[in-house]
Amino acid sequence: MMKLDSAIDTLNEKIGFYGSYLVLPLIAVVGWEVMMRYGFNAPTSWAFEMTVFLYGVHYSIALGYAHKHNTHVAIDVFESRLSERSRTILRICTNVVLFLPAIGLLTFYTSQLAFFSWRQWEHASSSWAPALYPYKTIMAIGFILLLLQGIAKLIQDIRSLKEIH
Amino acid sequence: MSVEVITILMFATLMGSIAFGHPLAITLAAVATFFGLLTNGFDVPALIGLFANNAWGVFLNYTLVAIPLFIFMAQILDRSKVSEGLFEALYIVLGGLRGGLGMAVIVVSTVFAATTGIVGASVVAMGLMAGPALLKRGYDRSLSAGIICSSGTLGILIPPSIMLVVYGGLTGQKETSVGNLFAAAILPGLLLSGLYLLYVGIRCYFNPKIGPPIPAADRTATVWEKTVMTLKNFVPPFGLILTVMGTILAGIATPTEAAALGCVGALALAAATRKLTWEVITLACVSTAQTTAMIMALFIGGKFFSVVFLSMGGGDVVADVLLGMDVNPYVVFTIMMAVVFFMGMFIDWAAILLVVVPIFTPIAMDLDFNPLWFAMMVCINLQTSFLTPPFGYSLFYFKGVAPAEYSMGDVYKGILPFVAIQILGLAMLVVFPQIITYLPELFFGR
Amino acid sequence: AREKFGADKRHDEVKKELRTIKPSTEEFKWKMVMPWSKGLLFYDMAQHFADSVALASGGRLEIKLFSAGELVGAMESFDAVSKGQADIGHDWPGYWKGKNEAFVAFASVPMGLDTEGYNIWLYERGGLEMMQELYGRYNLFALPGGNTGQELGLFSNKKASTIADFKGMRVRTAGWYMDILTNLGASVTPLPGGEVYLALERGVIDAAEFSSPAMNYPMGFDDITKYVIQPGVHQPSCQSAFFINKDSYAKLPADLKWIIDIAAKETQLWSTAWQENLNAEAVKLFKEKVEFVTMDDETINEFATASHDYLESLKAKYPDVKKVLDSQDEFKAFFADWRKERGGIVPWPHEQFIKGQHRQ
Ligand code: NA
Ligand code: NA
Repeated sequence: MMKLDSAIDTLNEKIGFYGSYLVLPLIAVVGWEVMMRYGFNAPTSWAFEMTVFLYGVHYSIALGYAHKHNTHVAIDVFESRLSERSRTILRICTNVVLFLPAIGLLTFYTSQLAFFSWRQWEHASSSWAPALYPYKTIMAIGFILLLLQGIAKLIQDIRSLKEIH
Repeated sequence: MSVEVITILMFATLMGSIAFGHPLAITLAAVATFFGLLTNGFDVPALIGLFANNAWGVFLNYTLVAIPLFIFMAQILDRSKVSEGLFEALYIVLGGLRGGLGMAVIVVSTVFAATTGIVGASVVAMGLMAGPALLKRGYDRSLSAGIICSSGTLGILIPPSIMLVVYGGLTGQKETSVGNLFAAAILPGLLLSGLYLLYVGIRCYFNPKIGPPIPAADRTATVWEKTVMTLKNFVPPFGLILTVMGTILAGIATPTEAAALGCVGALALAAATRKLTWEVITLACVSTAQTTAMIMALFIGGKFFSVVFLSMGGGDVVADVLLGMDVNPYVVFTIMMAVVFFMGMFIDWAAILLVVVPIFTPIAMDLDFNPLWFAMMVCINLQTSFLTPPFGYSLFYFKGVAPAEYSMGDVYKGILPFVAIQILGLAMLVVFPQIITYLPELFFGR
Repeated sequence: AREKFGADKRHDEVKKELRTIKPSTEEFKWKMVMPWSKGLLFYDMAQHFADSVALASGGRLEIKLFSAGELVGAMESFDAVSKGQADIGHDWPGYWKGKNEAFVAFASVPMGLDTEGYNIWLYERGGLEMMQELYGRYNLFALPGGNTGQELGLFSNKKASTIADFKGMRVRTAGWYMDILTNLGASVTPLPGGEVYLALERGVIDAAEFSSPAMNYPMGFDDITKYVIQPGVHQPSCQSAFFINKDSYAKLPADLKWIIDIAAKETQLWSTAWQENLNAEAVKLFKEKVEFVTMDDETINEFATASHDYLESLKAKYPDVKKVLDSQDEFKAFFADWRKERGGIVPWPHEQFIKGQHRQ
């Protein structure tokens, strides 16, 4: 049977890995805008916003991926002096006290923000006026992925605690 | 509870919680959530709705687009081994001087700093390359550790720099626009680099044992060969410097756009040196995504913290204390600098920037300090935070890649003189603020 | 004999209100958000309103200001107030174009109402009711929040006075004017506010508009451009609004509600006097550094036609826009007789007047 935590690991690994290539179209769009404006005197109405959306999507869907790979910077100097078991207990505690409430609430309210945006059919206040609801949704998904990764880590820590004794 | 008490409690809780080793970004968000609810009567929708709203503001922040771009550029550059070529050339050119090899490291790091926006890459590259070389040539361990760690931190000060991008994105003011910050940081960066060189040169001149010249037998290249070698190896990095800073100053591109052009330049360079494979690109992408997510998470967490802090009136408390002292503005300035320096010993630069700038900037404005000058002083202070124990990331990066002979004690001992140089540099910029303001005025006429 | 001509329509309401109103003692602390940074004169307008409310209420309603980014980002202030994360906001309604295109009509319309026009249309010809209906859909209660007069035209490094000059010109502007300029053949780019100076200075763009002369002055655009292309056809007037969370508003006792209403009107009056005086001063200062270029009549006509066509296309697309713009057009038509009969006579200095400069 597929375990929940390894399913989450796989999900974030896949999304994070393929999402990381978004930096390439980001470079391309910005480069295109410079070329069109400076080279052809014809700036686009869409490149500026497209750039922002690509950047936002790029980091949002990598939040959980970075958490999986422990890239989020932490002060682990005190922690590293503890025994393996104490460290695991500490990780479970900080996860439950700090991570789950903060990111859990944030996930709920960013989802709500996305929901309201859909309900209003919200568009940007610009000339190109792209729809904003897909991007608010992706931002919420980013926090959902981060929350899931935290849950996966909690499961893994509890399991390893049982194994260490 | 009064706002004063809550202000102190909030910072104390933050400092206490970070020691638990949980990611800083999450800790910031969690402390903000707790104190936000405590001070708004546990109105969850109002507080977390506000947080969600702020997260969306970060999502749409155009200035920050430069961050993934500068990180990607550094990743590609790192893999195209540009700094190696440069180091080999300078090894031969400067090696004959007392302390010459150490000075070569500083020069390479300075040039490399002007092509990359972060600290890690430069320290790691120099640690791997110069770390063993300096040992082999009989350099003092603590001196060589100090040289590599400190000159590596120039990467986040000399433009391009993600720290300056974050600062510009944070204030949204014209005076501290990313373009102005970039122009302002050039001379202070070179000043610090010059002070490092002077220090190494003078110390080794009087005490050649800690930094001996390379034996003449190893230095067979003619002057002509040296010149050709140096020029050849200086071309790629200078091409990139021109691409990034040149396009900004020539009016071809905004700083964000220049970052993208820099990526194209780095890719071209890697292709020219036959280092560009799909695997290299993939690794760079993955690493960029993770690092960007890390910075942006900090940005978001720091934002929540400052939103709660400011909305409960904490900013007014700090301002009342600092402005109510009725002393010379430079005393208040020194206190603010000391706070940043102290926090820099423990917390990551981005978290400090995000928590402190919204509180200190209005105070600095009230005291009529030049916003650009103040911004630069904060940034140099934060560059120093990479060096100050116990948590100096530059030191950790170095220790991670350097030969085992370097103990953490060597590293800590080695960086102390360089931290003193940083403080000296800050003092010089107080006396000669023109070093900061000259280039922005020259380039942008203000 | 004829009946009395006109009456203060508020008076009957007040008579009723005065039978029940009691001075309240309850105290309120509100948070106010806005898209302005502290240095911008819009911030002073918001502060003026908060001060008036605090003074008139004897400090019972204290409104604390949060500049852009302190509580929420500039463009997030609307949602923040709508959802009760803050109690009140100050804005230029055009920023909420993405929520509903009709918001722009309450802010400024290319070749549209001037300051006098907004005052009459809002307070006397149903504009305010339409504004409150629109904001009301988002759980907001809105009031006019100051008017800063006509905006300055384009700061430019290209001298453009005929329509041909605008073709291919790289211009930074935003909103409806962006589309209109594009239709006229300019290359329009929507750079964010913070990037404008650098882009203009370095020649990334040829020209940019930002705001009224007084608001523009501290930006220093005159240091880096050669011309100002006048008039500011894109914004003949610049109307702001206060928008209040309906739940926060409902909690207020009647006397504080009246204080808010009166303070908003006082801000509307004061802001115009204050800003137009500063505008005149700023233009004098600008003239020391840049040349003011006036578009010829034919060009202004082309702008008017392009604006008209564009606005008609918007009306066809958005019923809300049609409703508001039709009302403004109706006011223009209604007012035209009086406008004509008063003859455009304006108080030029006597020497200029007798030399033949009589009209606006
Ligand atoms: Na750099
Ligand atoms: Na430190």
